[in-house]
Amino acid sequence: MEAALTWYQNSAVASAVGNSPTITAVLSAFHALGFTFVMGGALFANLGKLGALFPSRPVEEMAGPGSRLIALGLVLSLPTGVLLVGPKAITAAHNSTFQLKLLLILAASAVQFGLLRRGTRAVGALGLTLWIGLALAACAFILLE
Amino acid sequence: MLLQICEWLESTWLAELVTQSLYGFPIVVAVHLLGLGLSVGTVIWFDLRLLGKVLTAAPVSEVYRRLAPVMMIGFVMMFASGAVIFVGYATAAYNNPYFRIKLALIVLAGVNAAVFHFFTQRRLAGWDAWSAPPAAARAAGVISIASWVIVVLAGRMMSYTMF
Repeated sequence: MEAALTWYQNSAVASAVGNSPTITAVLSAFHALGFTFVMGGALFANLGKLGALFPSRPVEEMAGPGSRLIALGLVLSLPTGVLLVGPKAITAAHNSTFQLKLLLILAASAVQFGLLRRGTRAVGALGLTLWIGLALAACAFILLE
Repeated sequence: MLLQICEWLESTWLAELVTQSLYGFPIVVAVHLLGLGLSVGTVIWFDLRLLGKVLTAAPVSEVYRRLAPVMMIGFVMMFASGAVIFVGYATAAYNNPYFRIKLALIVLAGVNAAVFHFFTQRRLAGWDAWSAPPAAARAAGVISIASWVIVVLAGRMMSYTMF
């Protein structure tokens, strides 16, 4: 693991990102856009599941589009996040807030794409909690970075 | 004149709080990002309803009524924290091209919302339940999504080119 992180941090891609403020800025811009889509999708799908947004509408009308917006957000934010973390991959991997962020991405995605459609309201509550936790962890990572 | 106002803003106690305290700036940025997720992440669903892409069986007025509280909380968080950040770095922001793009697009989004509210929405009763709203409403949805996407992108570009 350590060897892989060292290889990645010393790779040409990570160096290019680390040495170019413009590349970092563009990546960060699309990372933030992805974050916005993930948050928007998570709120819509999970508040919908909880019956808090449109109680008279079928849950599928919110869960489906909400999950698709989350997927689009992840498609934007995950690759950009991997590239952004390159120049500081070793430090980030040992950072507990960053580890929590990764864990929350996995857990929230598993609940969202694996359980939400079939699950009960409790799954909606769990999904919402995990996505909000992820947003807070992302903010904490900025705070403590 | 504007530059002098920016310089004065940077001399206030609020600017000092943002720039000098250890956690002041990152905390305000965190609130700004959460506000962004809540506001833009919610307004997009109303825009998609105007485009006839989601909740097509629900009246447009109901979609707005249900989303508005979350949207408003998000916009208050985003604009209040954004104003505080601006006070701290007003001169740098004033000279930053991405800040100008961001501000112009926020104004465009505001004008778009006002035009929708005062003109398009006046005839809402006639098309409230339509699954695909009229062209003017769809145009408002497209302009809103495009504006906010550019605001997000320019906002992040700004923070990397300002300091």
